[in-house]
Amino acid sequence: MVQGVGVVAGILVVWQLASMLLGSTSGSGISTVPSPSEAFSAFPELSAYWTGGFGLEAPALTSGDSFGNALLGLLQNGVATIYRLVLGVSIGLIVGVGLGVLVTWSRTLRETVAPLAHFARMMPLLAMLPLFGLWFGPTNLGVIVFVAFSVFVVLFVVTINAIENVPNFYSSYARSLGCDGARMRLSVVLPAALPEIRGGILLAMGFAWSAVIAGEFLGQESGLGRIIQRAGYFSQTDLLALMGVLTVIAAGITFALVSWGLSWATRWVEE
Amino acid sequence: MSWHRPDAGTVRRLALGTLGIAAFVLLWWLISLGAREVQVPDPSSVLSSVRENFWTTDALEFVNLPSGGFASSLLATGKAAMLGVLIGTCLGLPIGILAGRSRLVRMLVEPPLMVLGVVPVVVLLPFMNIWFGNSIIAQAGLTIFYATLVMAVTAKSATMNALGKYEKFGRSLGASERALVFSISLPAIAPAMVGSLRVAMAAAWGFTVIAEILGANKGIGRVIQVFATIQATADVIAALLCLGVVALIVDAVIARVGRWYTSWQE
Amino acid sequence: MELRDVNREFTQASGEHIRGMDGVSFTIPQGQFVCILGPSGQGKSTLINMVAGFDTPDSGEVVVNGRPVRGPGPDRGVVFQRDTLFLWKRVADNIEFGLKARGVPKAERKETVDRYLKFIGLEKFARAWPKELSGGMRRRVAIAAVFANDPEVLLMDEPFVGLDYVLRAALHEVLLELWSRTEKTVMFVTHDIDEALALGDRVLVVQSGRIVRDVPLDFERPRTLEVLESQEAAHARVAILRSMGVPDAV
Repeated sequence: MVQGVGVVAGILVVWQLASMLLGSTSGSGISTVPSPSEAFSAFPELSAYWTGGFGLEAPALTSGDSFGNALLGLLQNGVATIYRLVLGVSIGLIVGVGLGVLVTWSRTLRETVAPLAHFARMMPLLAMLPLFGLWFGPTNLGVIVFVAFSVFVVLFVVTINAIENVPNFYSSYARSLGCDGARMRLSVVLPAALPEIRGGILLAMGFAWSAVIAGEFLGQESGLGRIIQRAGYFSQTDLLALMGVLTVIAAGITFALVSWGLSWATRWVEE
Repeated sequence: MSWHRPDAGTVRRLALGTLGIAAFVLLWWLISLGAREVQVPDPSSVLSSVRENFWTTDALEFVNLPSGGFASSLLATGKAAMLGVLIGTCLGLPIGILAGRSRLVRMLVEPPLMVLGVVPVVVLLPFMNIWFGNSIIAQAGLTIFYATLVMAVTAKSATMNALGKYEKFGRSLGASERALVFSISLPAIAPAMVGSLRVAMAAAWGFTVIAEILGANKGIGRVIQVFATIQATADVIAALLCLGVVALIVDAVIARVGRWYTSWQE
Repeated sequence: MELRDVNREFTQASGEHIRGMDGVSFTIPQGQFVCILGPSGQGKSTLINMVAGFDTPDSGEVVVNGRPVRGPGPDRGVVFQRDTLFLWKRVADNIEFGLKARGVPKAERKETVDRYLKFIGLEKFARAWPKELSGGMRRRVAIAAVFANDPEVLLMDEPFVGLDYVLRAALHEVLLELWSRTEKTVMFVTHDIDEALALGDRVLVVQSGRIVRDVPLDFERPRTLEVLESQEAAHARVAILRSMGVPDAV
């Protein structure tokens, strides 16, 4: 706990130093490397992103900045991003792991699919953003599918490799007890592969976050990525810095939750 | 490297793989029959786009793109990507090795590494544009950040592993500190570093291209973006496929060189 | 079970051909405890893999209970040399696994699992993860899991190798007790002659993929230390050693 506080303090100190040493003030009065205090004081500007709802009205354009509105703005956009992320990751995970298990059933099938999977893995994910834009337009669905795709590509390959690495004696043993087919693959092979798949899931989380933020850069009406993109467009470095911190916190929380869940699911692993 | 006659297993894998690709193209063609050109262009129009655009992109002359075609754009992107990975390696490798060898450095370096590891790297893109404008550093900025991180983390854990395995042995033979680092630690961590080099390179393509998409004036990302704006889906896909092939080849080369270099590993 | 003129050849990466099994034929009557004895790498594992169905002969036939062996199955339970317990299942679930897979109803499963847990003395560990158990305890669970599935034939491939003598003696007791209560045929592979003498009705000595000697062990059970010191036991031991090529004098 103390260590955690120390780390945060250390980061703030380095940040303050960086802003004092590296920042230069642009015409609008905002430093190119804003200090922590400048960043945090930009918080009320998030009020501009609160579009109303729940019986509360959207703030007026020039006078509506307040802590409360900013908080609502943050929550509204944060929820939009998290929603897309969770949906995309869930779909990508189920399809990726599911197809991975299916493909390993037959060696022929696996060898047939291998080059395609490898190529898909080598295709830079973020480069495909415009293509998804052409396919889905600037819709929510498009971002979700993009996130799902990014997760799928990683987990499909990781699952196949993880299942390949499961020692043969597990399936031999299972068969000698009278268990085979789908049941064996689900209750023996998949759990055995889970520790390795776990690493892939955490990796995919990173890809998913990049995908959702990048997806929101391009033509979304809500979300943390959109705020970042607009702040960048208006060179609002203080708001950018703040958004950077908030996004890192959000990403950190999701990582921690997923990691925690996976640790529980693999609590049986021997050290 | 000697060439053996391919055994039955390799032949089978090649045959099945080709069959798989063929089946995919067939499926693609079937879908394209029922879809609009803008949504799913048929494979042949993508193929002809590749042929037309690979060396020159006459279609894009109107947007001030250097008319060198996919090839020159890919080269520009590749240069920026590799530069980023190079800089990232030069920064990350020493940090990682030091962190692996020294407890103090580790304590200092681990928390930032952990925090930075969670950053969705694209978040830094606006900063890159503000700080570095449109220069090659801006394009490579995300790559440098990510590559430094990846190389540092891998170098740290690989160094710690190597310390456990080999260093005690080396010390007991009386090797000097310098010799320990260069003759034992570095070669020992090489396999892991090759792996993370591939990861960093693969990510580098993506980061470089997204930077180009969101505001650069050269590179394959810019090409893709322009084609996307005029809804030329076939050309977008053509460019993407070429990019994928280049990324695949670069990865294969790194892997090959890595295998050759670490061929002494058990 | 019966093996008729079974042959199996392996090709190493170096191109060398190794005869895993060379014209092997023998018959084992129902309920017999047979030990397969021999030095490492001489064909013992190949033999048991054939009967288990993990490997198929190049020529010849393997027949168990009148049916030719076509692959692994619950009629031939296997206890492997290495620990194959499912680490992601608790002890009770491991023992239950075969029963559940074969559709045995829940009440009956629970009763069987409880019975075996009690028998191996691990009732308190029913909900434990395998990682929480010692090596010896895990071996007990492995034996229980296979016995609980009620196979007609039990195949054991050097299951106690690497364990100390005291532990091994305890596991022998568990095994023999379970065997005496049921009518199972057991094929037990080992390279330890003392183990073979302590457990088997019969020893098949394997060398270079061939059965070189078939030694009945007719002395009485239980195999107390006195029984194992008797004349007959000593004769059997010498016969076995000679057939393995151990010289009379060093």
